[in-house]
Amino acid sequence: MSANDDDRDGDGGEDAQLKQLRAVWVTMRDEDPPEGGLAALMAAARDKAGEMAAPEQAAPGESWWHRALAVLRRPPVLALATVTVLLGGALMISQRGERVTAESTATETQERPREAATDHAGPAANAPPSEVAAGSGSSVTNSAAQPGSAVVPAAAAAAPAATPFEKPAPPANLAAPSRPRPRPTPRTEGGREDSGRTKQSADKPSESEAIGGAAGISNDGENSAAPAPVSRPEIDATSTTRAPVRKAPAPAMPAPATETVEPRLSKDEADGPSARAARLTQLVKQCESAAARNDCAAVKLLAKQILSTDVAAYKQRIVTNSSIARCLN
Amino acid sequence: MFKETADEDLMVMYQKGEVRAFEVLLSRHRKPVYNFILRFVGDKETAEDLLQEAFMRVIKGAEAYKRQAKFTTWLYTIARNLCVDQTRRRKHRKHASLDAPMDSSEESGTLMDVIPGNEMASDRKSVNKQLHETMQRAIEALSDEQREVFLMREFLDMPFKQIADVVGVPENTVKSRMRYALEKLRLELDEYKEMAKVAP
Repeated sequence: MSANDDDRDGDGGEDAQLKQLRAVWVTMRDEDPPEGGLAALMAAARDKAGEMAAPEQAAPGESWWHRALAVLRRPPVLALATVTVLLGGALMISQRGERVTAESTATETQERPREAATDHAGPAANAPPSEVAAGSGSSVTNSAAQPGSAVVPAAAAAAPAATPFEKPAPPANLAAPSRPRPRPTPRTEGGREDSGRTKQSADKPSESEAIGGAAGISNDGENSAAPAPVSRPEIDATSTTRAPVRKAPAPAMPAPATETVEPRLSKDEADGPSARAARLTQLVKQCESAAARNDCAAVKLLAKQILSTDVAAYKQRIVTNSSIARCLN
Repeated sequence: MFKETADEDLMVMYQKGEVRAFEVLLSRHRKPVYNFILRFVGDKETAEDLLQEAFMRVIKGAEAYKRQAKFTTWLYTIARNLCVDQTRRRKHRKHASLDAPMDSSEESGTLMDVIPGNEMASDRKSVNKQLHETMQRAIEALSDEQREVFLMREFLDMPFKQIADVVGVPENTVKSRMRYALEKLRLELDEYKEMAKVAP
């Protein structure tokens, strides 16, 4: 600790008077500090030295978690933990945002066919009985004659190895909003029969109702308007054969579509073949109307339902329709 | 064993648990720090307490000490802060009173006794004593800012840069304070310049 001589520019010069004064305080004797507190200082110093040496020489009796805790308390580790938490939070928030977007897309897809069904509810209900009968009748015959796997082999092949009645569990956040959807028409016969009916029968009308039923059309009214030439046992046969077809994955279909209409399936089956025929006609018309609007998402959904309802009608009325086919391709 | 070792190295050794290193530091700096504090506060008892507190703070803060820092800068920063706090605590700065006793000891007289009248002290020892006491009074009459700079510069022989680090002001400010301090001292001690000439 020695000052340079050229560092003296603040010292007010080196005049003689100052030199004399400086000579005075240079000779001022330093006093010795009292020894009183020395022992206390050294004791404190020893204690502190023991503390400071402890972390470095990891005491043998110290448990591993003590050391781990000591390491975790260090600032770099704390900083790293903070960064991790922030990044994790950001990731979670971004993922939640994606889910919400997917959910809203699914809801949109569901609502579009409903709107389409609203537009065409009248014509469907007033469809000529011959047309309805032809469609549904042929489908019943075909379905009854051939097993479902033979009717749509590609779809059957693409179906998962699980039993055809098993439905893939949709994500909870997608399934949730569809459940409280209000039913357009009060029903007494079908109701929610989730426990009592098979999945096979549940799948089919659910989709049709997602489009036609939700449009505010009373199924009972449709059934009464349409003739019922087909007997009940035939319908049961169709439903069993159609089941694997329904399980075929439709890549363009949003997952929640099948989920939403599950409760209304049994009702359709209970309504009988006349209702099925009327519904088929309605679906076809809605499909055509959607194709005319270039609403390909709705077209695909409707086509899938028609396919699952009646393969023959699908081939005759959907595949051959150029505007619909354009959407399907 | 540690006689040639730098203060900073001793501090690092103490951080590793070497108590002897701290003992050496204590023996090196205890006296100058004590005298710095004593000249700053002008009271032995207070100086003793503050000295103890200063080294206690060194012990407590030893863990956080970094080798890059100059030990004396750190030590005198602690000591200086304690002194400043102490003088602030005494709300009214103790001005030199001609009637108040200069020291706590009973035999010490008043400044009136020390400052000679027309007659000069006969022997050199007495002159020196008078000069030193007068000087101490003059130093105490300086403002806190000027006094700390003056003490570090003239008694501890610190470079201005280091004083600036301790005080926490720019180097030029330190130099300026030093100039004012010297000027003030010169004025205070002007009438004793003849006495200073006699002093060795």
